[in-house]
Amino acid sequence: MRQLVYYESRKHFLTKQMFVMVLILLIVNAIKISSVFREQSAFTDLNEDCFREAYDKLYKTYKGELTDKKLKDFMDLYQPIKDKVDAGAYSTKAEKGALTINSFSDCLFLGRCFLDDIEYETAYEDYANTVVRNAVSNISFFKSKKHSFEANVNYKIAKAFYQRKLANFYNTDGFRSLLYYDFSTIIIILLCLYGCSSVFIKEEETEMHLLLKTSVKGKGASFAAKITSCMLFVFFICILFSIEDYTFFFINFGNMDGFSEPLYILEGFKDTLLNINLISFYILCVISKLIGICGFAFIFMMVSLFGKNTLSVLVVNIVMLAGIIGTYTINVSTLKYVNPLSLVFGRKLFMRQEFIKLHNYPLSNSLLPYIFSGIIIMIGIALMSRRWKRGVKS
Amino acid sequence: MKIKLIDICKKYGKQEVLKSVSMEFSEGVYGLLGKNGAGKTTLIGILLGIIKANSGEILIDGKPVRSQSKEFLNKIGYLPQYPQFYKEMQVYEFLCYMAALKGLPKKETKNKVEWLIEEVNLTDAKKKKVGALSGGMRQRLGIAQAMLNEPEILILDEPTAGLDPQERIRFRNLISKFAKNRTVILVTHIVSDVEYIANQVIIMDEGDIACQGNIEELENSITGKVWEVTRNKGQDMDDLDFSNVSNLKREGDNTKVRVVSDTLPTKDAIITSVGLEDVFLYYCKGDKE
Amino acid sequence: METGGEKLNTNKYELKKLFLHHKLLYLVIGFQIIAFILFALKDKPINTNIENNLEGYTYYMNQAEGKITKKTSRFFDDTSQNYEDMESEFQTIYQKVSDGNITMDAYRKRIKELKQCLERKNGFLVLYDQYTEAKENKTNRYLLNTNAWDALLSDESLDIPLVIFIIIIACVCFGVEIYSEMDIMLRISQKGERKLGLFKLLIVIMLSVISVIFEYFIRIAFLQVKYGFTHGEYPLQSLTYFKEYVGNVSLFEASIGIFLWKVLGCIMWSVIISALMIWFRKYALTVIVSLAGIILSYVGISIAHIKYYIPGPLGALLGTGFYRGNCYEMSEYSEEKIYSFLQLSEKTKNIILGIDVLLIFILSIYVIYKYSNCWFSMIRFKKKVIPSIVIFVLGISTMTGCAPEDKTHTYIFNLANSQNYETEKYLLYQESRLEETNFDVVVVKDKNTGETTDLVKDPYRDNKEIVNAFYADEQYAYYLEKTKDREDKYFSKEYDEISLMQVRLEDFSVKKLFSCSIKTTKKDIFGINKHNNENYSIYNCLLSFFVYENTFYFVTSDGEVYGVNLMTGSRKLLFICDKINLSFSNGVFFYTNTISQLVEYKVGTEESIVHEDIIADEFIINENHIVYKDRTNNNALTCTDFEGQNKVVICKEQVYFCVADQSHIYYEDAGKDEVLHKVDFTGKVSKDIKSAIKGRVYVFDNYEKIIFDDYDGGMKEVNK
Repeated sequence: MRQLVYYESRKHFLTKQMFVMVLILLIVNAIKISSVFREQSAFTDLNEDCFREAYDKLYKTYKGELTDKKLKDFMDLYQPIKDKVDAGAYSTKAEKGALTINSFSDCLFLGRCFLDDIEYETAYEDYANTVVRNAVSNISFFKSKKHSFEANVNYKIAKAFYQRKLANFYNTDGFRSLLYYDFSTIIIILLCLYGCSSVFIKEEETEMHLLLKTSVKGKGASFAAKITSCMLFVFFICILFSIEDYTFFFINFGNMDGFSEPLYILEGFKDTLLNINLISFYILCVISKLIGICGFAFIFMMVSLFGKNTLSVLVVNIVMLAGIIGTYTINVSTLKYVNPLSLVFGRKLFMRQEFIKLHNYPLSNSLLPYIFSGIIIMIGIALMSRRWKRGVKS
Repeated sequence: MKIKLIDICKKYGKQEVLKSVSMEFSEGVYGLLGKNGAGKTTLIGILLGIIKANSGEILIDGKPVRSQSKEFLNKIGYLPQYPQFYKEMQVYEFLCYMAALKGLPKKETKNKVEWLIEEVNLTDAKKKKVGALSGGMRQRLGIAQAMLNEPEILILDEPTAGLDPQERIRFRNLISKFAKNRTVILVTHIVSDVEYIANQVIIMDEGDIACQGNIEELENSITGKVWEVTRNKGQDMDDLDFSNVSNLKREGDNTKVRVVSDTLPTKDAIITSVGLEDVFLYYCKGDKE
Repeated sequence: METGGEKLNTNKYELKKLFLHHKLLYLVIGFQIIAFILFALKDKPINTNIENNLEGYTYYMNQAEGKITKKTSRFFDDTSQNYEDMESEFQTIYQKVSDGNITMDAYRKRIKELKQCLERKNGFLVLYDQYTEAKENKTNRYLLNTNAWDALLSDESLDIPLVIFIIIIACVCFGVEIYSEMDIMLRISQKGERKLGLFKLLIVIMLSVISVIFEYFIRIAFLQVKYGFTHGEYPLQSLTYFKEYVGNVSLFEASIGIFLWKVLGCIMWSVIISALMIWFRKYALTVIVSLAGIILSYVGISIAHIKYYIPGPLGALLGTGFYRGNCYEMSEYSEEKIYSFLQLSEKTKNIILGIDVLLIFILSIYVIYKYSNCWFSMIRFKKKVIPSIVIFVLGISTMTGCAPEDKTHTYIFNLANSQNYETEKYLLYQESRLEETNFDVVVVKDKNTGETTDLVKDPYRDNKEIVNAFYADEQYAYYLEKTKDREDKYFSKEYDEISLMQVRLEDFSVKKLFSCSIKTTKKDIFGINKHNNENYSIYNCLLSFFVYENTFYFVTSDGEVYGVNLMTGSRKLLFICDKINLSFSNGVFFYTNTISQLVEYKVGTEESIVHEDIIADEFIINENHIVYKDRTNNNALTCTDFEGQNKVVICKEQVYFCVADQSHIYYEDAGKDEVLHKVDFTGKVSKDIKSAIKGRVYVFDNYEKIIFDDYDGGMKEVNK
């Protein structure tokens, strides 16, 4: 079986063209990441050296645990500048003694790069307690209404938010941009389209299907080998690009501090129910993406099996891809659950979870795409297996 | 028409596919034999202008082919190996299309096509799609399209590969029919095809010409080098070099082995008559003494 | 062989082979249909205000269009003044009628004239906004109806169907020969060699050019019917999108220019795909490389003008950027300009054009060379010409995406009384709780037990903005919430999404019915920024709403009334009411027009019926009555039925507010402060409810008490 998997990989994925394409796309991805950094970092418009220098100096002072002393020191630094700017007593020319250029730029710089995050982190505990309080009062309310589903939902929320706190200040820009970065996903889908579209149709076109289906290991074992090699390919390119993304975000943003900080340190995930750290969440997103891309791979393979020639298979796959993207953007929940794109853009599943009822037990809707993808994959395997083993197509 | 190939060389990277090959063709049927990878198809490709030679010259009636202009293409008829053609076209339609490609006058086309369809015995399949034809019918269609412009040079690449014996005989007869006043180059490694219809045989090996001449000359060149060894059931054959064995046949309890060798292969070997296959084996085996 | 006589035409066979056997003809027709459908579905007016006020706008535009001169400025000043005068006349005419200073006939005549003018007022205001903007550059910015030109020219998204179509036709044209190995046969035939390669290339180019021409003209025809093109001779800068362009180009010239760039882009793309197909000799590789090249370029190149600076099909297929001017924002902390787009100079454009043409030439030569016989190829390449893989960009516009799930029931809706609702079991009303939140809180009170609870039970509500409007019917209550995803941490503090939430009153379970992006610039699935100003401005001005038969109806503070289909998410502007007051009952809207006449608008048939006898700015309805302040009678509180019969004056004095249940009207008049009068629909006074009623008053049909919001002491109740 290992040998068959190897040969299937050699046929469809371990080709010179694929290597060259992957290499070029790795380079393109790296360039894109650096342009994302230029657009999304705090210094996009603060592009003089003085801003970065001031940041590096101050960051060393304030990073880590947010002690009262640090907070006081920061406010002692920030408040006078803020008051001066509010009073209008500033100029837009360079000022002596300014951290950056002048008071106005100092105020902007400190507000953007430090204050916003510090305020968010210090206020988070109160917010979490409010959520817990709201959830707990909802529990008793729904219990009185004998609505155990909603009571259970609120219980889950209360449990997740219980004693949440953000004690440390770190620069999480790198992680935030990394989690919101989708360009490499498009590359992976295209590579998958190229690799998986020809898995079955190639046999048909070269008339090798005659030989395969008349060999001892040509039917079942060969089919399993094709699926396995496909999945290995998907796994490999997902991991490869995920590692590249992480590496180049690290290189561009300078650091990926706070990787062990909880996910809700990012404001977009303020309401997440996941109590995991950033790096674990990134791994979870990569796994989700992997499963989603497997879903795509199966769709492409199914079309390849039922297609007449390579060009028609490619055209149908492209049209289906466009359809999948179109239905995803429509924003209908039911369609989203069965859409592999929901897993590919996995972060959105965990930003604000909703629940569906399963015998009064709340099932997080973020699990549904996994379940549906699994079902699609299993159905796909069953259909394709049957078709492949059926006999020679006339 | 005389076609002369002078010092044709072709390399793919470091691999030398044709090593300064020179040969001459005039009227008649030439069989171009050789092992797989000998360089036959490459040589034909160069002659047709599909592949560019690294060096060498081709003269048509003493003039370089480059100076001939496109009239040279009119003199060629070519049947490729395993032709697909256009599966959606009907036979008749396809031949008309090929006639147009070859620049045939409109008035001539219909008659020519009808005549060729009859000659190759595809009258019943005239309206059939090319994709629906059997292998033998497709080969016949192939030779018909090659003959459309009444070429002076007819090149057939493995024309009988995959055909049943009846089809093969039919095809050979067609070639013989069309060979009148023409140069026919039959590229094949099926020796029996060449044996029956070729006037001259060229054997290629590893990018070079191993030998060239008519069948009789070639057979005579290895007279006394073809042996027959008879062994009965109890005797072993370990002393025989099977790389030189051209045939092994069981007759009852005996096994008759035909060996091609410069020297006596075994004590009990006797000299026997030579066939073209023996010649092929002699010139195309790995090492020659 | 005879050489004389008429030669057979290989091109005829080639065309038949490609169009019929390889079905290119169906492909071309199919593409045109699909492209048109997608365009028609996607098309939305850039300036919806023009479409919403078309009659008035067109009336004034016909007078003001063209260059802004002193005459134009005077025209606008005079018209503004006229409207001011008309407004004040309108305010006083009813008083004059009430006082008997003018006769009814004179009033009717004058009111008709005023109506005709005032109905055009909004159109004038839209034009005035356009004039104010155009005044900044009087030389270049002319006044005209811009929607058609904007739809044609101001779209910078790449035509994906066209791109894929060209890939397919090029692959079919060249790939079929390669896969059937007939390319060898062609190269050794007299008519096939070289000429056929050129002919095939010309077919691919011709098909793509014809397709883009057809597509362009069909779009023009569609836009002409939908919006209408006018004044192509006006300067390009008359369109906002091109306002910064430095150059002397008319709209018509720009449309031709952009079109020609697109044609060039098509030609280049065709040649590139053909060359790739010949080079790779494989469908899969050709399709993926070309698709990856164009999609990744479009998505990856985030600096807009770079797409045009790089020679290749990308910029040409987009086309628009060649006529765009510099776009910049001022830095927050210095006086520097931060450019988001840099205009291409003529010299740059010529260089790019030259390189593009050279690329086309080189690749065409490559294609022809590959189709020629080695003995007769005129160009002998020592090395292989490597076709360049050009970088492209593509974008896919996404739908705004608003979609829902559930059905609802009918109810009478009065905007004036949209702060409280009653069901069989509950009362729902808004309560102010300034100590907890800045927003009003919706309270649900059990009629039997008197227990109250908040409607919105979302534990995360502190991280959301709950819109200050709600609706309830017998089974469900609805509210709107806004959320943020904070992807753009530093440069956008807006809310990203608005969602309609449905609460089942039986058990208070919550469901999201639909959601919509409300960022001014939203990112599509590929990360391309798309302007979303319309959603932003509409939903951020939402005043009140209700849900009826799977449609979400809402009114904005500009008086625009929209209906959103909860199944498809499609939104439609129904009408604009000048006075922000409307009611709804059984599929019929009631609102007042420009001259305060009550208008009935039937949703299903879009018919409008004007009640000329009912002149009111404020009114409420119930199942059988309309209660309103009669402007022809000193704003006397009047009650009538829907046929306008049985008119009864309830109160001649100034009335502060008025609410009603099924049997009575409750109002507070100017004379007696803090006293609520209770009258029936015949005007017969039932009683005066004396109480310290200061704040909002909630009256329910079947609840025996009136609830009022005493801002000092919270919610209080008093018997009806």
